[in-house]
Amino acid sequence: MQHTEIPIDSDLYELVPQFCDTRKKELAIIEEHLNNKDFFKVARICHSVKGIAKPYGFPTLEKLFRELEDMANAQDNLSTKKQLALIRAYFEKYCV
Amino acid sequence: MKKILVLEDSIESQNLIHRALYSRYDIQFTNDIKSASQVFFTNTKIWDAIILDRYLPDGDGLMLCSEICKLSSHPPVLIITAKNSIEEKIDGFAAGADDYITKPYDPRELKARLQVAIRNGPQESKSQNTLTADGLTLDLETQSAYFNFLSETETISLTPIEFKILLLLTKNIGNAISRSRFISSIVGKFHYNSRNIDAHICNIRKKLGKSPFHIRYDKAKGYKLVKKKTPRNENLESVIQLPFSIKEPPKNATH
Repeated sequence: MQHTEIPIDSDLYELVPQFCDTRKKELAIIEEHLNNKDFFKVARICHSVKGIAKPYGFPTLEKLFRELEDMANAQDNLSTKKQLALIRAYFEKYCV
Repeated sequence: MKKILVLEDSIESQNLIHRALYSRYDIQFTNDIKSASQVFFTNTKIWDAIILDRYLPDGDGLMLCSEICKLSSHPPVLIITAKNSIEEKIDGFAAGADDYITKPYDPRELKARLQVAIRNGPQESKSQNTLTADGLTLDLETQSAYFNFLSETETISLTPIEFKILLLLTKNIGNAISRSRFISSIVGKFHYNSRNIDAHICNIRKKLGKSPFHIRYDKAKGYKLVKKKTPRNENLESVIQLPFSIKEPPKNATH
């Protein structure tokens, strides 16, 4: 069973694997956008994720994507790449 | 079942909304402003509430919010978004939203707020059709005016030109309007006899009678609508409805 960081409504658990799969694919897309310095598209993805991460049981992910959105809006290339590494580490722990 | 239209492009957000509301509501999802607009305006009467996201592929959901709220009667509109700054919330309410819920939200909160919004019923857009100043209301649609007097509403019957004159005075309450400005704004004729304005003002003054307003004349500047001052020695019974009458003291009483 897919683990979450915090307990969530039982009827949401079956949606968590799909949530995690989508996030993993998005990480690859975000990396590509960063390589192209398309910070607007990165911020757009982060904006969507930060609004739903906590209800799906991943409050830390909400914080990480909120910070990444701010870094992308500031067009901070170095910080965004470091943040992406943190998000990957989080995924390895929770979204396996 | 109540019908809810939801504009939300994220499938995961749609899932959250569906899970929160499906047991009580018939929900229709749309992914972008264009399709939501088509669905809503095809039949505006069938919807009990609208839920709008803001950050969408084809723009800001507030654009649709504004269009919906222009209708004279429309279902309540709730914004659900991760845009959570004070300025963004103020923008949402300024666009006409009835509620503004920020993501992430607890589904119980969404359910409760939606329930309240639907309970309050369809929203009537009054502000576009009426002008109110300190108790005097002008209805732009029916071209009528009324005011509150002793907890009753008194209607003022006005001719079309009288209504336009009173409207201009009310929009500029406390400020003098010259005869020439009345003529150019209302009549639009260069050769209009300005004394006709005086005659109209005279009629309007009579009709304002019991209202708390009167039209004052400033020789240098023109006419202005002002609130009446309450006379100090006015008998209380004439302005306040008392459950009992005040008896005059006996003539030989000493104070």
